[in-house]
Amino acid sequence: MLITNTRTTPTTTTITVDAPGDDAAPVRVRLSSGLLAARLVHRTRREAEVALVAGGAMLLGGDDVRVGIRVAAGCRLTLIDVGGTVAYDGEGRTAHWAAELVVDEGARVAWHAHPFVVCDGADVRRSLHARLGHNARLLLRETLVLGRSGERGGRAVARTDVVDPDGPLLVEELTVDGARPVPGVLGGHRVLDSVLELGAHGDDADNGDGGVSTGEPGDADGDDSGTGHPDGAVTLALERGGRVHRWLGGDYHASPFGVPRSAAR
Amino acid sequence: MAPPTDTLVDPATVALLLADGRLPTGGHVSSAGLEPALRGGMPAESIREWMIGRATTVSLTEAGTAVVAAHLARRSPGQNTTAAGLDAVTAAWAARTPSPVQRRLSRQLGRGYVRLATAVWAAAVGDTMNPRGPQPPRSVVLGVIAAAAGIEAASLVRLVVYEEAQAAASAALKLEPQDPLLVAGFVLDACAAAEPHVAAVAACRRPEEIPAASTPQSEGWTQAHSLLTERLFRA
Repeated sequence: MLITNTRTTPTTTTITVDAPGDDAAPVRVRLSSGLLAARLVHRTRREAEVALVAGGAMLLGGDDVRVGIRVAAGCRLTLIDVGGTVAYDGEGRTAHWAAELVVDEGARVAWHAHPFVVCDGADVRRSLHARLGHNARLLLRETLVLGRSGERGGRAVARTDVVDPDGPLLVEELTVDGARPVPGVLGGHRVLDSVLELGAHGDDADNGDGGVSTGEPGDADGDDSGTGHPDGAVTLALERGGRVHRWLGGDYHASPFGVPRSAAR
Repeated sequence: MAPPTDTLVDPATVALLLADGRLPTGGHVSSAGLEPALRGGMPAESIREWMIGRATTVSLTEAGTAVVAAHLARRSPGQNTTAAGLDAVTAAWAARTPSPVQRRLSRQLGRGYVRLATAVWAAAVGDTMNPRGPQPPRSVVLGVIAAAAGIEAASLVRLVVYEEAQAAASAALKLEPQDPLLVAGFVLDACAAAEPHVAAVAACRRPEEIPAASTPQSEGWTQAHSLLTERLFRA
């Protein structure tokens, strides 16, 4: 399927969550929509839940989707996707998708993303940069799928870069081309499903960002191997705390991490 | 820059020494990820392709780490600022190495190189490393040695890529015995695949610039391999 890109809409979506103006009020949320529309689903004195909705066919060659998120100290933001992202054949043009997150001191962001599908002919640059304050936490579900059914998938470079005031926590750049699978990168697998838990961790069980089952048998903190999932998922304990759970497979619906929660609450 | 010993040794000779698998730095415990790959189910027919993949991903992260460490050590040899800078290089490397098994092995190999460095380049290397800082991986120590020995950045990149490919090749002959000449060809194929990246990696100056290519399948294999009771290599 070829869809020619003739867009003129602004491309940047911003979400800002600030502390309530007075004790009885909910958190203050400012939203502006770009190619992705941001809709407030729910808010309380501490937390906002926002849904991201694609404003049209996403992504086309030449698209430049940007998402800017800032969560003030002590506040919480839960982001849910309404449907996944499909990067279509770009007709030779690259599509860009970039998220910048600033999570202030003690704040929390949980982003339950639906699959990011890279169709045959797509060429995508995807990046996520997050700057965490002290005791801030980022929980991120992300799923890369190479191709729709029957396709091998296009090309993607996905960079994740998370830092806190003491330095980098996780920096990785995945380069894949569905037509040229590389053993050791994804091998023959079409689906890379990940759950990232970064920043302050393990301090409280009820941290309001649940809903992701990692299938982890026990606490992997301080455990050098931190693996051994019966379902083929792997947990990597990062140098500075935090964990990356990953699963490689052929079918998204077989992922042990389950389907991300949706807007219903 | 001080010559490595009283007699002047050409940097190219030092590079040969560092790339030699017979160097007593403990490198024999590593298959550079090949045993985990084979035990994880990768067919032996994929070894060449896997080596090319590694040479253009993980090896470039290791090489970039060594290059930035060498740059810092060269710029201000033996100063405290270097030690702090090297700690930042180690932090950048660790953030790019999500597998704890891989990090631990690289640090074990680093200790072997520290022993070599302090024996041979004591004055140039000893002051540079921070004994209280995070334990450096092999690539950081290699960078400090390269600075002391006068090995230039592009040669250092090729050295790291070659050493990893050769470690995998010699492991391949133990794990999946086959024609050694064929496997030697794989090493050159892997180095050739990395060649287009050499200039960019050699130009890295700051920790943020170190390549960060992700290899999820290999990282999973490495973790799973560490739980096996019968294995020839640490990873």
